[in-house]
Amino acid sequence: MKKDKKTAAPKPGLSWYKRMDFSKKTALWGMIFLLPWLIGLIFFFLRPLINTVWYSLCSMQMENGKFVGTFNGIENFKWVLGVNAHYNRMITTALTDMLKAVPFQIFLALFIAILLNGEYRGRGIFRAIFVIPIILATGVATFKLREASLTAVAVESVMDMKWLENLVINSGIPAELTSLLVTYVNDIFTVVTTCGVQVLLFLSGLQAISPTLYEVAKMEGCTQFETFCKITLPMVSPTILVCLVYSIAESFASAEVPYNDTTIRLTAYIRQITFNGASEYFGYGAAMSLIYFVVTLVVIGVICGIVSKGVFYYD
Amino acid sequence: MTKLSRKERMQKAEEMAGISFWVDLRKGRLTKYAIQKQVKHILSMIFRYVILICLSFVVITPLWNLIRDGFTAPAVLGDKSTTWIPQQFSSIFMDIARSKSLMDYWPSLAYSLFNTFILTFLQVLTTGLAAYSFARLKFKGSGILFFCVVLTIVVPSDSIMLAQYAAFRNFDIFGLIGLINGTGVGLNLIDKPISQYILAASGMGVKSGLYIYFMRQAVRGLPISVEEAAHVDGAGFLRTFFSIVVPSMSGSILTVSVLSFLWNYTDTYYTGLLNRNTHHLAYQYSQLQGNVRWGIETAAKANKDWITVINASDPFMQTAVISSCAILVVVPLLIMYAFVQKRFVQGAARSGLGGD
Repeated sequence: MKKDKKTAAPKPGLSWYKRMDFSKKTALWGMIFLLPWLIGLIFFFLRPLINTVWYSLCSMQMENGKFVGTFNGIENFKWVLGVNAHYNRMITTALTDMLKAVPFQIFLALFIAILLNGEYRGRGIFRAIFVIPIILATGVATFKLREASLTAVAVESVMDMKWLENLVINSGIPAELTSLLVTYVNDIFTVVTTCGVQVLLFLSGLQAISPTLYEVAKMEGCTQFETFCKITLPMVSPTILVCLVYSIAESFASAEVPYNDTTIRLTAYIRQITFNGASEYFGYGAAMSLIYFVVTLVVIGVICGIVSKGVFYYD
Repeated sequence: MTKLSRKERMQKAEEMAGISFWVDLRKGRLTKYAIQKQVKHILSMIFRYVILICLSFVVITPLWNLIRDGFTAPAVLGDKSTTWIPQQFSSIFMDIARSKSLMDYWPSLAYSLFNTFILTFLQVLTTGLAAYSFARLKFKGSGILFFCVVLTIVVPSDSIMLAQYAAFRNFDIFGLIGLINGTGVGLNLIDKPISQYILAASGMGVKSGLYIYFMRQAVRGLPISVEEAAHVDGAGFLRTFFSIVVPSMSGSILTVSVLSFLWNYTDTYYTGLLNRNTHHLAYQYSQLQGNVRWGIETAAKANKDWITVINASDPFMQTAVISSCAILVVVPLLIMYAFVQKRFVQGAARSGLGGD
């Protein structure tokens, strides 16, 4: 009886929600779910960001303790890219370093995550160990742990890689390739300490793969390599995309770039320019950050545009 | 009939089916295939352990250096022959680091953990809802908004720092608060924990963009048919989210919670900007560099045992105390993670779904 009543046309004006069709309901709830984030986005992100964009197009003046901007077009950008001697080189260095480091980082992170995943003795300890880099890479490392240790036992001295380097160089492989390989091998320690987050993300991605898939593959006689290519890789491909975005952004944020015979963090340099003291530098700093994140966005857009073609989703 | 335990049942099954190498060996019915398999298994295990142990060594070394410095006795500090283990142990530096003038440890730890729990909860809730919305509840414009998520990951926090500070210095949404209290001026929320909570709850906290992106990918990896079934059976959107989606992506949520906890706990950027509370451990630690000498002096004056052995102007002592402080900040996290990681288990979300 009740069911009959429900299928009858609802009274007009009473249950507007029930009469809504499903796609509209979906959209409505989509907005509701997004609401807290949207408020934050507008007030704590977009407004500051638009300010930055505006500053980058202005010449800033200090008047009565307040910043006043007068529009001057692309003068700031001209200064940053033309007059400033460092910025061009910094951005290109950051870019090439990123292109070299990120693929290796992703590869190593996936490799470690696969090793950590699975059934073996002591996996709890190993998993806990590979979280240490995440902790040490954040605020706690502001003191540069290497310097904080009294008798510096550099890892490099314990595992000397010179013989390996010589071996590769003398093996007759093209020089460009060997130099890249050598940098990878030399960097392996630093890369391991910077890919903690990616390892954790991959681990979670690997664990979301249903064991039944592997069972089927085994039954059908897949080799380990085939299983990896046909099951593991497609199933973690969404995570690869996330890791790529994160790695690229992080690589730019922590890029060490050449500056007057030493190196400096790109973000630190931008901050240094922004709070230089002279008020017109405020506009220059804004222009620098704008260029910085537009470059990062373009790189992420291009790389992820290519990679996302091969990403597998259930929907 | 006696009931067999799980282990006994497994053993019996193995004996009957011949799937265990050792059972087969004992019974003398080893095949070539079984030996091959066992050798492969052992080799892969050796490979796994060798690489994991080598990499662990790299990862642990900096932490071990901290521990070594923190537990060295003042008399043998700076000894050049010390490599891994201090020649003489003492917990004096740890005690100094724990004392009131430096870390004020137990109250600070309680405050930091409490604060971090709230931040993590708020952050995961908001980003989870947003991620589900981006993955499944699409509406016009959600593509553009998702582009904004990537923007929040990419834009360096420095470039919006001042404006964010200003937003909390004069906190006002749509001018409502100014209207209510009649002054036209918003609230000053700087140096109050609530400012961090607001930031976390509005999905702009530490690395929120990454969490949204990651969980969105996780939701898209779930089969949609279960949610459709829930809708057909009359579940609302909230119910579908909390009783279908959340349990089936619990692994990803756990990962995000762990990351969020780690990052909120060790965050010094937002704490320094919005909530300079002297009881936040990581923030205290970041402030040590200028204060460590004063801190050691005060601590030494307060304790008779220390004043004879401690020389606050000795740079070795300062680094040792800083190392001890770092251990005190890091170790609670490691202990907590060691418990949590047991919950990282293979997801079974897709088992039992025919046809997908």
